[in-house]
Formats: sequence, C-alpha cells, structure tokens
Amino acid sequence: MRRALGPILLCLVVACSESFLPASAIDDLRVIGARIDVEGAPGRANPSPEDEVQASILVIDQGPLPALTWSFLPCVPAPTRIGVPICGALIQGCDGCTGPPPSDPFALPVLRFQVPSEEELDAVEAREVLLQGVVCGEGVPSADAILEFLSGVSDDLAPCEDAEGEPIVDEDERSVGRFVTVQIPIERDAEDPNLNPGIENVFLNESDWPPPYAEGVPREAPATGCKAALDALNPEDRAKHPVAGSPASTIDLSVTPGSLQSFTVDGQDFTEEIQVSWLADGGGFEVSFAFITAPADKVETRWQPFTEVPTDGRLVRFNLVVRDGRGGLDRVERGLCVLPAGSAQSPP
Amino acid sequence: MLRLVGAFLVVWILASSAQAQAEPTAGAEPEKKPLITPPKLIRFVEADYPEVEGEEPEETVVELDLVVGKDGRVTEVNVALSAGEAFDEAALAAARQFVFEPARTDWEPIAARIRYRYVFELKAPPEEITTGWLSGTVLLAEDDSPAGSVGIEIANERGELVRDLVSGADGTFIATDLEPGNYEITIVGGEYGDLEAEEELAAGQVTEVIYRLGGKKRAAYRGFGETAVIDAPPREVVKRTIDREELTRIPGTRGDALRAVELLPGVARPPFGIGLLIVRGSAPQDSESFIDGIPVPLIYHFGGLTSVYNSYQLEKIDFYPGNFSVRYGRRTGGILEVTTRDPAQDRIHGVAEISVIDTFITLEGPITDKISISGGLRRSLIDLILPAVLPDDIGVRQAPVYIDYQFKLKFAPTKRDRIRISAYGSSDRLELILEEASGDDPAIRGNTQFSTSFYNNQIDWTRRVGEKVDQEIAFNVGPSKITFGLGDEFRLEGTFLQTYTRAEWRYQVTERVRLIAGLDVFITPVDLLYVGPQPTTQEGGGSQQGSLAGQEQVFADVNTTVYRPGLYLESGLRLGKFTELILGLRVDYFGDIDEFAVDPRVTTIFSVRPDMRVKLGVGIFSQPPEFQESDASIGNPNLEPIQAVHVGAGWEYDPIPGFRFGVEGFYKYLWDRAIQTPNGEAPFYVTGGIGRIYGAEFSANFRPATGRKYFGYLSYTLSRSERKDGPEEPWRLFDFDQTHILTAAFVYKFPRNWEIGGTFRLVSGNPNTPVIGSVYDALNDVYIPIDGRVNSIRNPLFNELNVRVQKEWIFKGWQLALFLDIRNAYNQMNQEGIIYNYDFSQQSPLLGLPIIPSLGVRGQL
Repeated sequence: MRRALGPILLCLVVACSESFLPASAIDDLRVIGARIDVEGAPGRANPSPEDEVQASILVIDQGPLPALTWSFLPCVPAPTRIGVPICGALIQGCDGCTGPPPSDPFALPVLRFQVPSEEELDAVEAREVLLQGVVCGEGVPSADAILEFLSGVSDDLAPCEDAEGEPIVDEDERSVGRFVTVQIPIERDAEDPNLNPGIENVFLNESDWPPPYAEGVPREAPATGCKAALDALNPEDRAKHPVAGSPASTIDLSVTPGSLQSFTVDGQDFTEEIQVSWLADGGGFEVSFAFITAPADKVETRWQPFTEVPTDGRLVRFNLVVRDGRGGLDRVERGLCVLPAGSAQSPP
Repeated sequence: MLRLVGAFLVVWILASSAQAQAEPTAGAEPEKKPLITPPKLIRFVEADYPEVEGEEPEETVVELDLVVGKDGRVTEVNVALSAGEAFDEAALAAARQFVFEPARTDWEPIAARIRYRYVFELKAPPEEITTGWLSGTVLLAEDDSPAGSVGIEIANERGELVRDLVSGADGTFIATDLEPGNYEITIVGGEYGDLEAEEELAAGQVTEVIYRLGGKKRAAYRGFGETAVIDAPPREVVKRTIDREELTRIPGTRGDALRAVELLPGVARPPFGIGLLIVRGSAPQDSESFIDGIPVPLIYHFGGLTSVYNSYQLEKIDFYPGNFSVRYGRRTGGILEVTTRDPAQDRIHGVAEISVIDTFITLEGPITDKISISGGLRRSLIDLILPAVLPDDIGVRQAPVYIDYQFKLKFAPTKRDRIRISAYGSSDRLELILEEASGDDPAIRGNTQFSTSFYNNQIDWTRRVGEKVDQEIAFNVGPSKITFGLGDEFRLEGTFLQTYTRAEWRYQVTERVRLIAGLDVFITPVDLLYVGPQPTTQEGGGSQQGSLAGQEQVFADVNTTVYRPGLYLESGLRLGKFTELILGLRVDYFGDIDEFAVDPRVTTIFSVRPDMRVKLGVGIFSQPPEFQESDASIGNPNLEPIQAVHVGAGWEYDPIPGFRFGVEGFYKYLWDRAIQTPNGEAPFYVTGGIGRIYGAEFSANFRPATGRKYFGYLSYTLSRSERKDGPEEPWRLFDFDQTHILTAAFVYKFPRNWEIGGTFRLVSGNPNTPVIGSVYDALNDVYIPIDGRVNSIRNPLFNELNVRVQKEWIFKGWQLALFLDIRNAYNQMNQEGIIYNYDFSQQSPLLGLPIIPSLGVRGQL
C-alpha cells in the first residue's frame, strides 16, 4: 500500500493519468451484473442453504447483442483473501450453465442450481457460493481457459476460441469474451432477508422517458436508422430525443421505497447504500458511478450526446444498474435516438 | 638574481593531536591507522636575498619547522637550523606566506607539522628588465583584514589568462615577469564574491595594488551554514564523501542536503522521486534513518520534495550502504545518520529562503558563553498553488502541507561535558474530498486523507571520563502519528510513542586497541486501528492494481508495546603497520516476535600505500518483521527475524589531492524473509523467503581543495537484486531492482558570483508486474486484475537532467542569492509504471514528473 500511495497522490496532483474510455462507455461485449432470484421467495437476493437460485447474467454490447455462448460452474469457494476468488468444491446439477440451448440460439444466460446444505458450507466456513465462467460473443468458451481460471492458474487467459480451438482476439490483439465471477452471499438471517433493490423511475430532463424506448430497446435494433422510428411520435415526445451537439441531458433515477434496507452486522445497525452504474453505448456520462444514500431515494447525472451522428439517427442504449452492495441488483434499459443537427425532425 | 629552491626534508604529522582538537567527538571511532597525505606546497613566496657582509655565498640553507593548518595556511613557523639571522628572517617572512594543499588523513584535511628546507641561491645579475611585476594585497572591505587565500586571475588585453595565482594567508600575492601592458585582474573571492580591476604594468616596475572584497562575515557564516558532509566512518568498508560546501549546491535537490544522498553510488532512484531510501537492492523498510543517533519515522516530506530537517542546521551525514557497525541494528539494508550542528557560539546567524515550493527561516546564536541555541521553521507553499490547478470535482479540503521545525540548546558546563537538548518534528497533511466516485473505481470517493507527523524530544550528554574513556548517553521520547484513508474502504490510524535510549562507552585500552560498548533500547507503545483489505506484502506484491471494492475487509484494533533492546561490543585493533581489524558483536531481542538475534561483524582495512586502501568486510544483520506482518490480528507473531549476510570489498585510490577513485563490490544474501501465504489466509505470513543481491559501484570525485571554482563526481552502479518467495517459487526481481545507475554532477562558479550546475542520471527502469487479464466481479461491478509473473517486465531507461543556476549579491553584513533549480530540465517523459483502463484490456505508460522549475530567493545573515 505504501508503494501505491505515492503514485496515487502524485497522479492526483499532476493529473498524469491517460484518458481511456470510461467504464460507462460500452464499446464491446460487457457483462454488467448478475441478478439473483431465490425460487419461491420473490424479491430475495441472497439464498439460504439448500435454496434453489436463479442467476441471470446481464450481458450487453455496443448495438445489437449478438448470439451468446457461455459456460459456468457453481461452486463453494476455496479460502482466499487476495485476488480472484477460487472454486473449491463444485456444485453439481446446474441447469443452463452451458449454453445457449439448441432450441434458442439467442437465449441469454439464466442459470439454476441448488445451494449446498448448511453443513457443507460450514465445513469450509463458506459465507457465499460462487458462479464462475465465461461469456462469449464470438466462438465458444475455451474449456482449458475455464479450467485454469477456476483453479487459479492465469497463464492462458483467452476465454473464447474458434472452431479450431484457436483463441479469438480482436483487431487490437485483445481477447474477446469475458471471464465472470459472481459471488452470491448466503442469507443467514431468514427473518430479515436481503431483497433486490428496485428501480422505480428513470426521468430524462425531469420528464418521463420518451417512447419508443421508454421500456427498453429491442435486442436486434440496429445502432443507426432510428430516426424513422420517431416518425410516429407526437412532436412533444419526438422533441425529447436529443440532437447531435446539443447540451447535456439530465437523467434522474429513483429507487423503490424499501430499496435501502437496514440490516445488522455484529450488533451494529447499517443502512444500505445503492450504487448506480451508468452505462451507454454512445455519448458520454459525466461519471460512471453514483450513489444513493439514505434518506435520499434518487440520484441525477448528466449525459452528453454525440456531436455528429448519421443522417438517419443514432440509437443509444442506456443500461442503468443498481446494487445494494450485499448481492441485490436491479437493472433497466432505455434508449434515445440522437438526431443530426438541423434535422427537420429535430425540435426547434 | 636569486633562485630559490625549496624541498621537504621530513614530514611528521600532528594528526592525533590536531584532529582530536578539531573533532572532540572523534572518540566515537575506534583507533585506526590513518591514511596520511602530506601537505603539498601550492604557493611559494620568494624571500629577499639578505644583505650580508663579505662575499655572498652561492647557496645558503635555512631549515624551518612549519605548522600547516587545515586550510593550508602556515599557522606557525620556527627556525630549526639557522643560517644566520639575516637569512633566517628572510626565510621566515617568506614561509609565512606559503599556501599548501593541506595534509589529509583519509579524506579529511588536518593540521600538520613539516620540516621545510629553504635554499637561497645566488644568481647572476639579471639582464635588462623588460617585464613588469604586479604585487598586491587582498583585504576585506569592512575592516581591512587580510582576505586570506583567494584566487587571482590575470588576463592580458586579448583576454588570455596569463596568471592564475592564490594569495597567501596575509592576502598578499605577486605576479612576476609580465609583459608591459594593460591587464584585467579578477579576484576570485569565493564566499566574499568576485572583484575585477584593470591595471597597467610597465617594464622594470613593480605595480603595488590593494584590493578590497565586500561582504564581511559571509565567509564566516558559510562555516555555520552549508555544513553537511556525507561521510562514513572508516570502520565501514565503504566510505563516501560529498564536501559540505557542495551539498546545498547540487542541482535538482533544491539545496536539500539529504536529497543529495539519492545520488550516491548504490542508492536506487525511487519512483517519482518520492523520497524512499533504496540502498543496494534492499527494500525501503530495510534501511533506517537516524538524527543524532535516534531513529526517525521518516526523513523526507510528502513526495520527497524536501527532507524533514533543515540543511542549514546539519553538521554531517554519514551514509552506510552496507556492512555497517554494530552500533546499528534491526536493519538489513543501509543506514543514514544525520548529525545536527551545534548552535553558533560567536554571534547571531540566520538564513531565510522562499521558493515556489516552500519557505523557511533559521536563527542561532549564543545566550551565554556556555549556552547557545538555534531554531528553524519551514512550511510548504504548495497548498497555495494546488487548488488553482486541481480539477473542480476534487474538493481540496487540505492541499499538501508540510511543516518542520528544529530547536536546539547546547550547554557546555565544563570542558569535559556537553549537554544538548533538542526538539524537532515534522507534519505532512493532504486531504481531498471526491464528490463522486473517481473514474472507474466506485471505491475511490469521499474523504481521501493522508497525514504523518512526528515530534521528537531529545537530550544527550557526552562526557570525557578520565583520559581514556568517553561516554555518550542519549534519550528520546516523541509521539508520531499516521492517518491514511481512502473513503470507507480503507482506513489506517496509528499513534506511536517512541522512546529510545542509547548509551555508549569508548575505551582506549592501548595505543593499538580500542573498545566500544553500548546499548540501545527501543520501546514504543502502539495504538493502531486498521480497516481495509488484508494487508499484502510490501515488496513483491505484484501489480497492486484493482479496486478496493468488494475486497473482504479486515479489522484490527491493536494496543501493544514494541520492545526491542540491543547490546553491542566493538573492538578496533591495529595489526602491524598496514592492517586494521574491527570486530563487532551485536545482540538484539525482538519482543514483538519473542526472538533473539546475534550478529557478528568484522571489517579489515589494509593501507596498501599512502594513497591507496583496500577494505574487506563481512557480517550478519538481523531485522524484525514489519509490524503488520507480525501482529497477531493481521499477521503472524511466530515469524523469525529476517537475516542477511553482507560481504563487501572496497578499493580507494587518491591519485592526486582532491581526486578520489573508488570501486566497491558487494554481495548480500537474505533469509528468513516473511512471505505471504498462498491465498492470504491465516497465519497470513510465514518465514521462508530468501534473497540475493550483488553488484559493484564505481565512483570518481573531483574537488580541488583550494581556490575551487568547480566540483564534480561521476558514479556508476551495476547490480542485481532478486527474491525467492518460497521453496517452490522461482527467483524474481526485487521491486526496485535497477541494473544500471549512472550519475554525473558538475557545478562551476563563474565570475560575478554566478554559479551553474547540472546533474544527470541514467538509470534502468524499475521492474513491473504486468496485468495479463481480468475477471468481472458481478457483485461489485469492478474488474479483478490477473497478474502475470511478478516483476517480469521493466520500465524503459530513465534519464533526467537537473539544472541549477544561482546568482549571489554581497552586501555589507549579509548576502542575497537568487536561484533557479530545474528538475527534469528537458522535460523527459520517463515511464514510472503502467496504468490500465477499467477492465485492464488497455494500458498506457504512467509518466513521471514533468519539468519542475523552482525559483527562490535566500538571504543569509
């Protein structure tokens, strides 16, 4: 830590950091979270021993989401305090851990398995179960890479491979696909379980999100050509879609009452803080993360649209994810069509 | 008419008495056979051939006993073999004006008594005189007292330098056989400033002149001010010296003497120049800094810009890169000992300086004839500048501020006793408020705070007991505190109350045997609160990238007392004519791990020739594990002491006065290093790491002793430092392994008190651990980096030029200096590391500090 301190502080002083794309900018395949639901207990985020759980791996991409392949393994973690969590004993009987199923090539990874018994967890002092694996937008998960990843070996890290078994890399020689680890805390207090938070509303410039993407964006919707989709809108809704180069828009996100749960650890009372992840595949957020701290129930950020877009418009997908820090998660998707400057369709 | 020939007959040195007189505390050193360099005549003065009755003899010899002072002046002269009153008087008058390159023992000038044979030769009358002479005296303007030895440059009308003289102790000089014409005379007055004049010389005439230099007292003040000397005692294998006058003039250090330590051979360059002391491949925590024999928690302020003790109040700096004496323990790397200067006893002195980085003031002077005091205060000015340049979304609650102070009282109740009471301290503080999560790490937000402080209070008493025993007792107590917080994810608050006692007795058993016995006791109550991820090893910890978010937090609330007493015994034996043997034994107890350590050490010095020495040393060195490694709540109290064997050999050669060439080879082997358990699980650390370090250091120093206008040095270190973190692990590079370290420094003083200097460094880049992939942590929305092999890549070669320009003005009773110290003068974009994007799929060089000019002004009273 002492070694890192100097450069950290000096970087703050001299602003020596390189300007990479921020985490909020979606420019390739990304996993943005895992929603955990407990079978038979709606709203619960953390399973108890022997509960059946459903883990929905949330995946997005810049533009339409391609067909995905994935491979996951649930396990009880091996003891470790540093680095990537490591699997100990594997949990057998995972439904959907390898996909997609032949019946639905465009399926998203939704996995189901049963949490081991309390005795099995206590035997290794486990306070969570792990779900580790790979998601690929091209090719298929590399079995060798997964095995090495699960066992903590890190010399070969190309997660996806082609039909010949060769690692798939992009034009910058970077491996495509994502290694993912999902830590699922075990609920020890069934009387006061942790619940998934909920996103109540998302407002654009202090008004309702305009159609046609007020409830989401079709998976296959192309990145360009959205201008035509606005033709059916009334002028007021159409005017809510930004024009290239226009000032930044404000986006407000509020959570449902009860999202900020109170809980007790070692006799001390705490209240959750909601972490908001702002993600968009175009334009730019002013920050990648924000926080909702009680008693507040909403947070605002600003998003700057493109300065130039195609004449038929550029569709921007927004993904907003909230986390309670204890395993609870919710996510919404919205869309805006950024119109070219001077477009007849643009608002005055 | 007369031709005078001088020759040395016999040289015998008053080294013992003269040195003891000049350095009353030299009793700290064991008896040794000194390397003596005799004085060398550099200014000869012709005596008038006296009037004698009868026939003038062709050759007459007067033998004189001269005492040559440390400054090269003749302080005493007597006739040892008379040639008659007239010749004796003439020889005495001439000899009093001689100037010598002083005698030296080892590297230090000393007073010496020599016998000088003054020969008068009768010469044939000269032919017609076609040249002129310039004879003069250089005085101080204030009181017309002789200026002493100053340089005199005589240039002809074409600007060609035709004479380069040094005046005698009485300020007189004479230049003979100059072509008639106009000459430009430059008096290089050193600390008194330069003086220029034009003179016209005629054939057959002696032109008598008197020059007066301005600025009384300034030279005297120099004796109090820029006073630090980096010099290891001779009982170590390696001895290095940077002259006291040079230390505050080295470019890139902003006049900070302790910063100059970083430029010595074997000292690695810390990243960003943040002030870590990395000695011969040892980790920063393996070396220790002392002030007046007391360990200090830190020696540099925030970012390494400035040291915590004002350079104008330092007496000397001893630097031990390895094989150090048993006086020092608990460390396996190197030792830096800073000795502060006693307050001035003659009158009030002071220095005030302000630059864009900081400002300070010092004052000192006598209270009575037995008591004198000094004080100093420094404060940074960065906090006035930084808020204007930081981004708006970073709320600066407390910009970097550092303060240090020094107070010292010296009381000499008798000639055998000296008591000193001192208080000094340092405080650094930085606090930022990040309104939103910073960049791509949701954990970096809120209050980011870093502060350190220590306040040492010390009393020491030295006493001469009888004729053969010296006693030194010192006691220190002082709190220190560290606070480091990164939002809610990391917090460290520690308060330490350090008490340190040292007692040492030095006994001169016989002329050839000296014994030193001592004890030091380190007792420190610790109150520490830690919240954060499981601490990882400080060295070899990999890329240390990744977010704090989601890491399992550990909590430690520690209240304990660290107890570490040590005993040591050392003997210095002179064996025969050429050999000195130093044997030492140190026993330490480390209460935090309940372990003893016994460290034997031996050093041998062979004086091969008067100008050449060979030193060999070997010893065992022990060090307790770091606090976080051995504390029961976050570490393992059953660790063993870390141990090292140092093997060193040095060769020194002084081919001419003022020039030294040295080669030192070293090998260190470490064992019982604390290493982290594979997954960071309890007991968190185990004993089992080893290390090896080997290399060679080459150095050349050049500093003419008299009438100097320049100095310089060149050093090169070739080394390799490796670690092995367990029996099955491969060897890896040490975090700060730097294969090549080349340092060159040169400073030249121009006329009119202009001074320009440069320091150039060419150093291998530090090793790095690459991040070769990442895993998305869905719970916390961050990416966990996956490290490649530890320290398997290296930053590119580092190069940097520092430049310092200074102009001084001399006024009556005080002087003013304006200086510009430019660090990284050509704005080299050196790489100090690697930064990654949010998912570690892209990387970019982390660049070092850009050009940093520091303009300042300094006044000295």
